[in-house]
Amino acid sequence: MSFFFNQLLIGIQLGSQYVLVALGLTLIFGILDISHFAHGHMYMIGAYMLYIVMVLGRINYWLALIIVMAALAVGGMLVDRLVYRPLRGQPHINGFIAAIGLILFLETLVRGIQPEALRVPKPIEGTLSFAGINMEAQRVVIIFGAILMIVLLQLFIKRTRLGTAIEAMAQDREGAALVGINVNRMSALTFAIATALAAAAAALIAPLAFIAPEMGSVLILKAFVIVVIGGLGSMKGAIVGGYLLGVLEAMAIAYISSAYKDVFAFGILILILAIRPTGLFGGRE
Amino acid sequence: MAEKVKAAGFGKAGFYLLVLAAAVLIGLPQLKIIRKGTLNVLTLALIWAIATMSLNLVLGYTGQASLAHGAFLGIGAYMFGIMTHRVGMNFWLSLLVACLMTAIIGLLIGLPSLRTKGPYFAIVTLCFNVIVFEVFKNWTWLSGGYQGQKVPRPTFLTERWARYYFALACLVLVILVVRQITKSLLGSSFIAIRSNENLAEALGIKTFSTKLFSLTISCFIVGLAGSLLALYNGFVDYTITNYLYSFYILIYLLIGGAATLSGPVVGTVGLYWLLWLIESWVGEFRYLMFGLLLIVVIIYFPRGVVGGLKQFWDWLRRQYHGRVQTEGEGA
Amino acid sequence: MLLEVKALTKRFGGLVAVNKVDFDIEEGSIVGIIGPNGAGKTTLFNLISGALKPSEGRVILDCEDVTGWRPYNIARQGIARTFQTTALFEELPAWVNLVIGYRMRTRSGLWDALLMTPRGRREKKEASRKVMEILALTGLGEFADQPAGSIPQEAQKRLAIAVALMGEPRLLFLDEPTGGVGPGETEGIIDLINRIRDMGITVCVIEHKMRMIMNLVDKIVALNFGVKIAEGPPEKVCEEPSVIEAYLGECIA
Repeated sequence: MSFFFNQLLIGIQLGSQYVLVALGLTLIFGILDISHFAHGHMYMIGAYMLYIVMVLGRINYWLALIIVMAALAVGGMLVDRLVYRPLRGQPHINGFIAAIGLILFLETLVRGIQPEALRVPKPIEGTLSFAGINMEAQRVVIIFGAILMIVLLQLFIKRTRLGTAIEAMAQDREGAALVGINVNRMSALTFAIATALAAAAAALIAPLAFIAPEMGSVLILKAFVIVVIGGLGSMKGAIVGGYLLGVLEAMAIAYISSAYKDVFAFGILILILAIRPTGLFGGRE
Repeated sequence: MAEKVKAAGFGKAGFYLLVLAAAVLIGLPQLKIIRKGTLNVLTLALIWAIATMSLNLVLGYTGQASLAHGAFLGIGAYMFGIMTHRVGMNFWLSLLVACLMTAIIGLLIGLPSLRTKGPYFAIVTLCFNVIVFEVFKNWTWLSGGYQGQKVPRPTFLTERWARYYFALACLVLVILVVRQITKSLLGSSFIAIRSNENLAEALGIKTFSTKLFSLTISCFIVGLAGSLLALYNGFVDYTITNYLYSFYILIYLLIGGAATLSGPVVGTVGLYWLLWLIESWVGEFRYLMFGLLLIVVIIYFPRGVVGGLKQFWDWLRRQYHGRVQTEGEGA
Repeated sequence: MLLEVKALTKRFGGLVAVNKVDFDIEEGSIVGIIGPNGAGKTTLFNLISGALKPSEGRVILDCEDVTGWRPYNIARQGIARTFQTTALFEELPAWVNLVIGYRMRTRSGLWDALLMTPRGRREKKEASRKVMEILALTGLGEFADQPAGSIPQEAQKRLAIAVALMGEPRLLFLDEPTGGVGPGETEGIIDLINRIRDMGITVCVIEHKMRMIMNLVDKIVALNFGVKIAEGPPEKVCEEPSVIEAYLGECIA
């Protein structure tokens, strides 16, 4: 029984990453109608940034985390400005194609400079034991870190003017435009927030994983699965979907097999889109 | 005016260019200065051009962005290898079966996924590609694992130049097939769907089955490309189903010029050769150029090299005609 | 009776856009559908042409129940339509637009394309011939080679009608064919509609400009808030109090 709970918690930890990445993606998709396929690679850059700041810059983990989030917020805004803004108004698929170019660019760049996987030291060593469950401290950090981010995001959305504007746009882009919200500013802000969240996800998992150039590739597809299923622009959907996928995957690995774990998520997506081509929560075409 | 409405050919300038290109490609291996390495690269480039042409049919002409063509390429390759080596089927029959199998799988994949539009379709097909990759990687009975699948070579293809001409012949055949389709009434259904799917449906075109048909034909062709790749290398392993190939084919197509007949060939041969050239200078970073190029092209030159040239040519022609007009009136 | 619409209804959640609308269209006639903005005219078109599925009611074309059929099947049965915001294949030349309009009447497929079969060649010739014919009818010869999106607005409207005609429809629905078009050109389009009727095609026009269609149509169906408020010859409909109220007296020519 404790094995089950152990797996459940691992699933929640796994889900935490998915949630953070999917939240950013759903905001971008919902507000800006951009298929930001390169989001996973921004996540990857975040992990490498962490290495640079922590290992080369000898800054402690917690501070590094914040620096990386800030740096990637800027990075996200750059991507928006240079890659997506020129394509505004063009068919949707063009943005997707540009994202593919960006992915190739980033992945090759990183692989060329540093082909071998990297590791960063854990900020908190050891395992925690409670209620018959053993868990690495870092996993707990991930879970709570993610919850903190989600809470902060919600506060921002509900309590600030900018945040309310973002929520409005996520739910009804045309209506918000009519009210006179500055598209460029909103675009930059959305990308900043989304990429910072992805950076956080990367920084949280980095001590537990290998930092490698292809880190973001499979993650982005899963994030898309979550966003499409949970609803474009729906933060709730991203949160619920993310945790759900994490738990289901952890269970699948534990009880079925680990070989095809990625396939699981994609199979679900194909199945769902086959039945409802506009995603589970339909709406936006 | 009636001539315009008839299936127009390439136009005079295009025709001469075509003859020139044909002469070059056919005469190439005979030139003494061509090294073995170059011939190899060119042969591979021609094979990849076939794959790009297949994507051109379904994306350039029908507007559906499939990112699964890497998987289909691999499926074709494996089918061919398995048929010739494990089943012991004759060469030509194996080729046909490989293409047919790939087309059938394309059909089966299209059934659920073509109900989705635009980027959703791209994502679904990409997911499919990843699934296929994982399956081939893990299911060693099918794929031969790390050792892969041996692909025997028929005697008439032992010579390097024989393989070159065979690939060239296949490419020419594929170009003719695609040309015939795009100039036909079937082709008009395809471009209608690409241009304005809702209007096409309102005009009585069965959009779903037409898209499905386009994907199926496209998969038949990319199955051929996969088989040729397997043949060329004498061997395939699971890496041939890599989804990165879906991206590369997309890049060759967009940079060369989608919805043109020569664009895919120009793009593939040009880029493939370019990659090979700069490999010694920049090594792994060459794909970086790919990525940048794709971004620049999609933003500033979405019609690619050939498309852009055509546009420029048309603009020139209109300027010229305009001038003739006014001169006539002046007199 | 070519078209019978019975109790056609469409609900969007709580909103009833079209409410139990009945009317008929006789073969060879021109019928006008009028009503203020939001009266449900375009929704009605969408229901009949298959773009939307009705919540209730029937659409019967020449004794065939076509209710809820997919748009391409309804087009093949003989109902063609244009759209309020002119829909064309913008980057394709005008003549290609027309060929596409004829596509559903051809059966050529892959083998005809690859093997240049007699059927393939014949159907292409037929398409050519029809393109010339329709270009002449709609006066669009000068624009034949230009991308559809680059020709003047009014010509685009005529092109959209031309494309619909290529499909050899029995019944043609025109959604505001003179929308955004100046007075001089309006005459041209009215003239075209009459010529279409002379070809034996039944026409149904959604219009705003009352004065314009008064002389054109045989019968008017007036809608307001999704409900049919009047049906009959133009002069009679214009005398209906509910119509006068909806139009604030614009009716009178």
